[in-house]
Amino acid sequence: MKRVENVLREHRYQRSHIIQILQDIQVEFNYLPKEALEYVSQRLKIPLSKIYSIATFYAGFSLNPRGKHLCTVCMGTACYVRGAAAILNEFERKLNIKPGATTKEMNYSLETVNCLGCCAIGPIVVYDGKYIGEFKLKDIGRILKGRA
Amino acid sequence: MIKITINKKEILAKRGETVLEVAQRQGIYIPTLCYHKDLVPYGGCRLCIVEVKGWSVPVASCTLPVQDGMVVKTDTPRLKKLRRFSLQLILSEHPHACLICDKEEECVQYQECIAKSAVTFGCKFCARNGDCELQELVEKLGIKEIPFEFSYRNLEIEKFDPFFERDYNLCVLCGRCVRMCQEVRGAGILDFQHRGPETLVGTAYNLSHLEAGCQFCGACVDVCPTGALRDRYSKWLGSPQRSVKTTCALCNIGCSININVRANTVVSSTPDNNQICVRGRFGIAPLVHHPKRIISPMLRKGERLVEVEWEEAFDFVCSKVVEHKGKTGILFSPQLTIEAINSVYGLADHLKCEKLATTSALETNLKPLDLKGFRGNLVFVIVNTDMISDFSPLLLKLRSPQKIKPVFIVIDAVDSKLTQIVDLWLRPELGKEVDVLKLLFAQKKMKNTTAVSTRDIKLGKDLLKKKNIYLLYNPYNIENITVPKYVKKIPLTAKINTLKIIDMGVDSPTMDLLQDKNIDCLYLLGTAPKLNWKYKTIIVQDCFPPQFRFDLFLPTATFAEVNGSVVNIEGKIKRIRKAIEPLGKSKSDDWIIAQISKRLNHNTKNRKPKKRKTIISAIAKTKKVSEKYPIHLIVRENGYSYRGHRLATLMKGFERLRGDNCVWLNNRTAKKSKIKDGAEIKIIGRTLNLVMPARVTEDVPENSVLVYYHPSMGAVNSQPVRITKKDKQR
Repeated sequence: MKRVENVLREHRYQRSHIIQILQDIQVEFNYLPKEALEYVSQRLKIPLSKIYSIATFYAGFSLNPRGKHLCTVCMGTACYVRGAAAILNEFERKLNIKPGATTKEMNYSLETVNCLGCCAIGPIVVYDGKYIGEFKLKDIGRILKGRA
Repeated sequence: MIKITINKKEILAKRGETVLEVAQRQGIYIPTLCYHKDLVPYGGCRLCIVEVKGWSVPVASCTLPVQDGMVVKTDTPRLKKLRRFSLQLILSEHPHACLICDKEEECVQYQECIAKSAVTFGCKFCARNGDCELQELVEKLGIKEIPFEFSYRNLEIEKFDPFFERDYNLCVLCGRCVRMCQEVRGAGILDFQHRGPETLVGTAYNLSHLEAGCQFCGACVDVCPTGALRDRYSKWLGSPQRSVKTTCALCNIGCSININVRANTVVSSTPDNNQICVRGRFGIAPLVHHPKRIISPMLRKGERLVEVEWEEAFDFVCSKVVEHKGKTGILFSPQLTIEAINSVYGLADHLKCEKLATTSALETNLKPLDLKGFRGNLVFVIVNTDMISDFSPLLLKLRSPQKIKPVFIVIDAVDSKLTQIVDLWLRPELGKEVDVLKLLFAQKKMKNTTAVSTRDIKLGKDLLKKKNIYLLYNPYNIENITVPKYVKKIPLTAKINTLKIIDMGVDSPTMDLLQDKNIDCLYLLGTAPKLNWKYKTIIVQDCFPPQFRFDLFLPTATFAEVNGSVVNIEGKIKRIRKAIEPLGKSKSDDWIIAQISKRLNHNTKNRKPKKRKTIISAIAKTKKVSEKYPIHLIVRENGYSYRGHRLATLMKGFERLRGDNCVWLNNRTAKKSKIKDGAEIKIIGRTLNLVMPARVTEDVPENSVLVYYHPSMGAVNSQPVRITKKDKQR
């Protein structure tokens, strides 16, 4: 809770900063824990239903714990026609999870995104915040091996 | 004033009004769905679109402020087409089979029983059939077909909460309930969850409403245009034939309500363009038609209770009252009508009854509350009173938009829904509430022994600076309040008619009457207190039977079945109108007493009852806990009762929501004494011995238990006690 309190203090307990606050909490915990949201609701006097509404509205927020590493595959139209489906398939096979899930040992989370706005370098995979353009199937093994 | 033209008609409008408001005032029909007069316009459904001269596209009239010289058209073919298209899209997610069925009229003869089906997949299966805004819109817009594929959400019907059920398969996402809950009620239990086609109205983390902290005021149910939210009790009772404007007598606010009636049955009670609480919304219909109600006079003959005619009952009353003249004690509930209270006083005078008492918590300096007097920079300090549970319509009025937002400070050791929404919550140690007040208003530095941090006290002091301060408290829950003169004290008593009773005076508080050994005959009007010994005669005039042995039961009508008036916390006299004829042989209180008086040759009408002097017994000072009695018992007045019967024992919903027939126990204290939720426990104090089911909660501070006062507990006040598990019966 101390970490949440720090985030709130940074934003000077401004209710209008709720989205940034949630983003910072997500950076802090890698996801949005229920207790943290309840605490924010209590401190800022924003109904919990409202915070939950925001957290479920934006695809960027996760309410479930995520793994150490996050692989996000862009499934936007441009990436899709350049083979994003095959990349996602390969990720699913290698990690043995569906998009939106986390591997059992909490190492990897797999997510999809609808467009990242850099279609020119597609297909794109974002690995731990790093954008890897012109992604190839063989890159999967490389990144998973390199860090796993 | 501004001039605008709607459909070639020149209309004067005020600046700031919307086109929709102006049109509605002039009786020009514009279809609406998400618009509601009590809510901030939302512009979601796009059914209220209008064309404005000079604008290329139609705009939603609910969010369009009037401008000088505006020329508006509300009914062009283009608008009709667009509206139809919008509604068709909305209906593609709502079970619409019956809405567009061409055999609709022939179907009427078969619909009686199918309305009881569990899943609603057409209007004929819906409880709101005939009272549905979608049906109205379909008819008005002339929709004959829906060209889109029907998508059924296939969600489970949420039946696990008390009072109302939710079937979000029928929801059209107009957002009225969400806005009602957030804007008007300030509760914020509901919001839209998820996004896009998956959007749903719901609570955070899909908690049940009970877990999410819902007050069950029913405001969302009342604004729902569809059958998605519906009152469980009235669901299948059919649509009401008439509604009667009356007053809710369940608490001291006395809200105006409409009682909806079909045949001689109360179907439901709904607010009359105001905000009410769970008691008035969901409590009245099940109370009136409660299966435990006795609706014919019962006389004890030997060991058996026998149903008798009124004549025989009156003969019994007269003979007993004459026999015990001067030794009769009358105890009445404040929840009678004023007329009934007057006749009770008349009868007491005639019987030379020196013992007349009521079960209400009283305070001698009670004054009518002046709602209009609240002006300027306001601070409300609320002590030991859960305003949301007991006085939510009043709290809403206090919170309603004023020029400067009022500040709320709560001083209470017990957590409640109220503490979550106020500006500052000071949680002192039990019994130190008065000390916190002293600290707040102290000029000099004082020693702080209240367990409230000095920082919070300073925060409170800052909030109080240069403002009109009002102190709200329930005199039953706190004693010896002393505040500086510039702070206005506003006692909030929970029971209606307390102002009237203070005006008339009572001889003794309840418990003193029951301590009086000279009384042989007890006449109880709507109360069932704990009796200390056997009486020669006990006459009960009530709706529900008491727990103890009685000699005669006179069935009375509830406030939905009588004409009369009540006086509320503001000192206003409010009418109570007869919604239905009294059930069975039951009669109104004033009729019964008038009949008794007539037989005793006493005319109640012309004589004014004599004023009595009110004596209020001093509440014993809270003693410190000791080794023998290590736990604090907190007693709060129970605003959830009618004529001394707890709503919680009568209705399951109230038991789940409020549990005032239980003892509330801190979870750590419960763990220590190995008490589980729902287990029967004994509370033993110096002068009391209670057995009640336990409810475990985090709201109550450690080493304390909370009960809601009820006359059947006897003389109970806050005191140290010890608790043990009830021995298992062998």
